[in-house]
Amino acid sequence: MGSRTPKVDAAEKVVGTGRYVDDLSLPGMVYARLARSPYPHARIREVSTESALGQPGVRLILSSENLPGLLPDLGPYDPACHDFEREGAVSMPGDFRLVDSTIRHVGEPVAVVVADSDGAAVEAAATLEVDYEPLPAVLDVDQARLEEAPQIHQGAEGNVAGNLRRSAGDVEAALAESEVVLAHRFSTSRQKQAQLEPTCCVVEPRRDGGVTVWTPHQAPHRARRTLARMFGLGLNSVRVVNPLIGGAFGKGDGLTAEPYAVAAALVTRRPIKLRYSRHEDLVGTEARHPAVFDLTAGFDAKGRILALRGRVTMDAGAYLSHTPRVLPVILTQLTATYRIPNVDLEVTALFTNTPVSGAFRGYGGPQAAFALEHLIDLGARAVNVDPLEARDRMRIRTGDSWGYSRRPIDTSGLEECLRLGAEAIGWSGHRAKELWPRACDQTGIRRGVGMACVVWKSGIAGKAGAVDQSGATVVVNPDGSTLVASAACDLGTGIKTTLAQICAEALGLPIESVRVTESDTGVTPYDSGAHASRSLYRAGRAVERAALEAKREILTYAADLLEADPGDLQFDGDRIVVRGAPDRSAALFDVLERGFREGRRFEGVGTAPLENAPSFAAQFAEVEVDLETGGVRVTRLVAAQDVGKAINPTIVEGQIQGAVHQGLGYALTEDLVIDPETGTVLNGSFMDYRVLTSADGPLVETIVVEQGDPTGPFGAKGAGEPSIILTAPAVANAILHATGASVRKLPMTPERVLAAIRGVKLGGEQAEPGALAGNGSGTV
Amino acid sequence: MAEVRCVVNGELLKAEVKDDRLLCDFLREDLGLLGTRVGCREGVCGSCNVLLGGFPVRSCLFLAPQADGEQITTVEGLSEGDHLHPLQRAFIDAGAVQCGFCTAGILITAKALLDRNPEPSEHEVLEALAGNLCRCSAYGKIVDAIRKAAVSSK
Repeated sequence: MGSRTPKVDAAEKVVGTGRYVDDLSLPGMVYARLARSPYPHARIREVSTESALGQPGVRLILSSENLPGLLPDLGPYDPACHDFEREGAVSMPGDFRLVDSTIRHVGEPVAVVVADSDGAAVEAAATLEVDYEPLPAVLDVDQARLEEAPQIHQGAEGNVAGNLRRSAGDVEAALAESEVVLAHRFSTSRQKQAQLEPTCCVVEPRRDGGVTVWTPHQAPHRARRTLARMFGLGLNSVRVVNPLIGGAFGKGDGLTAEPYAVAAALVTRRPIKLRYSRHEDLVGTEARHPAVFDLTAGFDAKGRILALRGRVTMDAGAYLSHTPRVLPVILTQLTATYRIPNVDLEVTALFTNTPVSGAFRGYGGPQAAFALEHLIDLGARAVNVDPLEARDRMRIRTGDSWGYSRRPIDTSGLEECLRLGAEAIGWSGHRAKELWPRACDQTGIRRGVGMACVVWKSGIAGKAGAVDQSGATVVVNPDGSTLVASAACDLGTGIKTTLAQICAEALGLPIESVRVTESDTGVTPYDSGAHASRSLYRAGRAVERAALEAKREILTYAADLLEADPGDLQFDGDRIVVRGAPDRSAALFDVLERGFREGRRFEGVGTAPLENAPSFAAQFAEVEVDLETGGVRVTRLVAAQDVGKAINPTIVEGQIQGAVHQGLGYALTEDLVIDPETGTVLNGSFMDYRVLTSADGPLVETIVVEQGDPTGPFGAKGAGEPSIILTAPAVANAILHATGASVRKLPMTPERVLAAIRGVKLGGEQAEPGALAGNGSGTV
Repeated sequence: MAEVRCVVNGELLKAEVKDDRLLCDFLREDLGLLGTRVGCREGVCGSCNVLLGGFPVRSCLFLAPQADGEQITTVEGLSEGDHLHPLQRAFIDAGAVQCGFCTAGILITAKALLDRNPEPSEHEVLEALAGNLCRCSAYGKIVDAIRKAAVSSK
């Protein structure tokens, strides 16, 4: 426990023998590709397949014209694979279908082309003749809410995809009593997961009419359930297996290529490989919801928020997918981290004819935190209070109730994260000595520090109606080796390694003897998948419980052999010994072998209790802002995170560092840009969609805090997401500290930073107060 | 069709390829060297880097016929049997592998770096890696691993 055990899959990854889905080939396999719409909103008049089918090697084209006849049981589906756990207050248009005759965004698949080679399929898909009747399109949320806007889905009046409201206290009265009231608009961008492995899927039809699906999906059991439903198959007829996964970050928390490949396999009775190009991956899989926050907050003289009023509009894109789940997270996160007595918040998601918004690491957290955390700094500045102190005064504390569970907070490492992070970045020195406005040095560079903090969750259990299950089985073999069956998905997170560590620790056996199965629905108990920072907290508990049960079985049997009470026995290396009687012991292998011959089974089954644990993080950024160009160089990033218990510190550090670096991309460069005229994605390649490189940011400094949670395995709680949530606001706050300019739109490009600095109105953005023209107002 | 004679991971081979066959597809599909990953097929991400005449190149931007007469090293060629290259050992030990999809390309870039600069500074490593995207962003651990490998191979 707490050891830096190398990852179980690291060796196969460094020598190149590890297999990702595109490395799989099956006998008789043929290739599918998708033809995609160039229009954002259209009706398909006709798909002319003749010429494409005449091309060499092309076998089949599936479109809205022939698919219903070929697969009559095929129904609509929920690409988020949540179809069995809908939450209230959300409309659910049941019109997400494979190759529908109505197209709702550029890049929506209109046909599946199957050919003998990938090249032939690419060629045929690119040249397929489709006759479209273009329809008026809605390309942003401002258009979507207009009275005359075309309605994108039947049943979704006003293009509303969801709406939730929360209120408490008396906002109007509290605003009237506030020292300062600020009202601002914050806008966030359409970030893409941009995992390095392009979407791909391999499907093999089975003799029983079912399919085996190899896919980097983040939740094979959820995928199985949705695929079975949509194709009218039994759960046993669909087997979903993860090969190695080349990153996911939410992209695989729903179906992408799988249903198209399954349809092609069922029709052709051939194994199918379906690849997406990088361009298709960027425009044809789901992105982080862009959101606009209109927030009004009243602050007291100590910088605490007394009242918060907010109207938030999220862009759901063309289909519902994850929106019903992301929406309440945004709402919850606006009030999760701080005690805000008076709130009136409403979050609305609107459909637009743009690529679908969905799951991305943080799942609503980064949007809410950018708006709220930057607003807190603006408020603190207005009342002349250190923003760290303002946060410390209003932050949530042990014993408080929190957003994701009925159980109050047992332990909190937030205070420690704030203190250690501040020390590491040199907060008090930075903030105290430099008053606004700062003297520019000769190079025109100003430096500043900023921070942000958050309470987050470990999974989604604890809320009514949420299905958040993890099961595991542990089998101790006669030779002392142990097999853990778990469908917890290893997206590169190291969860298989950590589960092996938990199993070894619980059993008291060496980790080398433990193997964790692939995430294969054919051999594992149900697991809700890798999302919401849940895998270690949930699957870890299931594995721990299963291992302890297996251990009890071994000790019970050994107790008979040693004529002792099972409670007096313990593992000691490769022996089982009676406590206090070292001469009475048995070799573990003898016990296991003998038990095996007598038909004993040393196995355990575990499930995770339906609980949730709060995790905490604080992040500090140091920036240099070039006043001439608006360029921002982030010189230091300190991420402190309370993970409960770092079962493998190397893995935890890797998770935090990676999250921060992705968060830095969200802060500075990443945005999938939609052409306002045509609905086309303008930067659908790695050339134009700017993922940060090694040369673009500082190496992230991590501080791991371990306030063990009583409900987590060995005290551990969720670790994957909190740090991605905080980078953008920490950088925005550092820019504010450095220059006095508030950048309220992501990404914070040099153009926007410069505009904020100069107080220039730019492209519809709210004008900023002339930061450089001010003289000495609001020293912090 | 073109004839290609080249040395791949120390083995001389001869093959007939289509004129427009990409080097990455030649390596992966014709030679079965699946350790080279293809992340973007547009020359940006660096996942498909291989050494060609000792220099790291994007195998998705090279045509197989251009490899005629060249020496190529893929990730499979770094280790000798069960004996890992110091870089591979260091990547495992330092926790520099997350999803692993970028790993082969980064190992290749790192090998080329260390071949020319046996003791790179942190800054030099970060600059050398700027053409290899790692979306898990394990850069801190990758830099550690490369610098440790540099020390251990001295």
